[in-house]
Amino acid sequence: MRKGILEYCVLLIISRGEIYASDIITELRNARLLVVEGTLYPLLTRLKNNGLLSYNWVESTSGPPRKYYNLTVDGRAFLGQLDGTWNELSFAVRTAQQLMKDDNSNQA
Amino acid sequence: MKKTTIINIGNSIIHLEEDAYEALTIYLNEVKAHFAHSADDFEIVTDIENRIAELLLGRMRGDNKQLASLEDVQAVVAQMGSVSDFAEGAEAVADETLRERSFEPEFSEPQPRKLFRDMDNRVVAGVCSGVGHYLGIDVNLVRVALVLLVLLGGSGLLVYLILWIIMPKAETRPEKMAMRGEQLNLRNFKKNFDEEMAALDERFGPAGRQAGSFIREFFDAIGRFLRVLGRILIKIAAICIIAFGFAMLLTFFIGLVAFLGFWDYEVSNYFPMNAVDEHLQVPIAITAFVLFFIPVLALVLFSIRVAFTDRPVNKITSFSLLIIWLAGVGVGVYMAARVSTEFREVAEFNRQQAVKAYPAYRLELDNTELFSKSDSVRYGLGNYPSDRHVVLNTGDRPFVSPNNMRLEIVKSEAGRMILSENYSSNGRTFEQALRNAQNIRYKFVQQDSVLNFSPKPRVGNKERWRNQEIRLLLQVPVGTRLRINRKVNGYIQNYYIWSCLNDEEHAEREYSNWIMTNEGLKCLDIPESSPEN
Repeated sequence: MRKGILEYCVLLIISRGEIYASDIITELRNARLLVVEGTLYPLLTRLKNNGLLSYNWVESTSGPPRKYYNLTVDGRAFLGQLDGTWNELSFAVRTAQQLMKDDNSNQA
Repeated sequence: MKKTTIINIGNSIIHLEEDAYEALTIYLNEVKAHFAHSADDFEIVTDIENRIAELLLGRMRGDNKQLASLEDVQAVVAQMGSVSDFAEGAEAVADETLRERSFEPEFSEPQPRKLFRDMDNRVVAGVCSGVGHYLGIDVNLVRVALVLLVLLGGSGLLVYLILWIIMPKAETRPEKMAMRGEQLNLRNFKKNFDEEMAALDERFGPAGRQAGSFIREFFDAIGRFLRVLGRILIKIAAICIIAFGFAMLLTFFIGLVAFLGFWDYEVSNYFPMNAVDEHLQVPIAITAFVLFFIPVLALVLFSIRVAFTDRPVNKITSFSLLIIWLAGVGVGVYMAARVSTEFREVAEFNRQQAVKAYPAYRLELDNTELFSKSDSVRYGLGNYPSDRHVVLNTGDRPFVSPNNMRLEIVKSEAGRMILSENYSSNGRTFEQALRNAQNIRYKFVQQDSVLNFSPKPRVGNKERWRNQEIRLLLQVPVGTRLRINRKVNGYIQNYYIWSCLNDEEHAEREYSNWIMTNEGLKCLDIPESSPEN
């Protein structure tokens, strides 16, 4: 059920600007999309290798240099497609839910 | 008190308590095994390690301590998530291939197998089971095939011995797994380990004692003996090579020093250095030194390694030796080309010399040499009034060049005795070659009826060897008698003069007697034998 949604959310978070992996996790947690950090790294690497993401090394005061991720032009285009798909999907769901609610209220 | 371990993770140095270190190692190994079949495994694992380092350092800084404890590691691992959490995540990101591969290694492509002797499943030395593993066929089939080969002419025995020598034992667990073509990951590691324990139990149990064990022990002893013997023989051979090689290196070195020290005096007048122009001699000597010295040096170094240490030959050393040697080859080819252009053209000319008429002649070899005026001065003979001096006994000089005089004896068509001398030489151009030929000096002296031939032509001291040659054609009128000294025999090209000396009574005679007829030379000493060729 969550297939693809995690990717979509990650891309949405990154689209707001350069961001560090653990901050992505924090945002995902806030959205109650619970994942452990270990899951995120393969996902980011895959998105990066598909040309959707790029990263910069940024020196850190608290340890090794950090990778800060960015959307590429391709990534932005792909996110646009996903937006379209998601809007269709949510329209379908909302319509179905509305129909059900209407039925329920009619019965009541 | 607790033991601590220092690790380098994500380019950071972190001190860990021992239990924390163990927990972290296990976790990282699991992570590596999990991502081992993903194309980006290195990058992913590096990212994870970096993050772990950052989290650990952050926790240590927060608690203001120098050392990470087990709790720290557990907390970090909880934050990163366990490998099973990754699987869930992997499902969530639809990374199906990753999941399939890491959880069903039994169906993955087989690894290329390696040829090892299987010491756990053997009768003699584990060769058959090793071959069985390698080819992926039943061990017993291999054994039957081998026994058949032994029975059919015994070639199987030889094959077995050779394989025994060249196949290494599978000793470590990774080697055993490579032998079976299993993939190197944690799961297979554990499986392999369990099987090994089971095999061990079986062997030490009473049912495990097989009839093969006596044969096995017997051949084990022989194998150990042969191996030790082989190692000793290799060492002895290596030491011999080292000693011999050192002697050769020393010889080359002394040779080079001697040449560089004395080249303008003697050595450069000997073959083959006398073919080389003076300005090329030092470079050529150094090049030749490099070409011969380096391979021997490499052989000696290699033998030293074999005999005394097990370390492989230092790469930098061997590469620089190879490069120097190849450079030497290049320079050598260039030099050889330079020298060989000096031999490109050939020129020759003839000179006829009348010989005073006598009914009979004696042919002698004359080792004395004529010196020109300048040479006489050079050798300290200049006090004599004549401009030509004769020195005796120069025939046993060291070998200078392959330039012996050649003599042909033919019937004179003109009816008189004529000696024609043919001078020839090589040179870079035709003019140069002709000049070289003109510089050949050949001494032929007639003393009444005695004809004295010098064995070699002489070339001026400054002249280089350019394949200067002298060919003599002695035209003898019919009816003339020749008395030929046996020393001259070797120089005569068109008759086998020894045939006239080789009868039992006269084997040691110094002279053979001949007469020129219409059919050519006839031996007078042994009338019935024909001397012609």
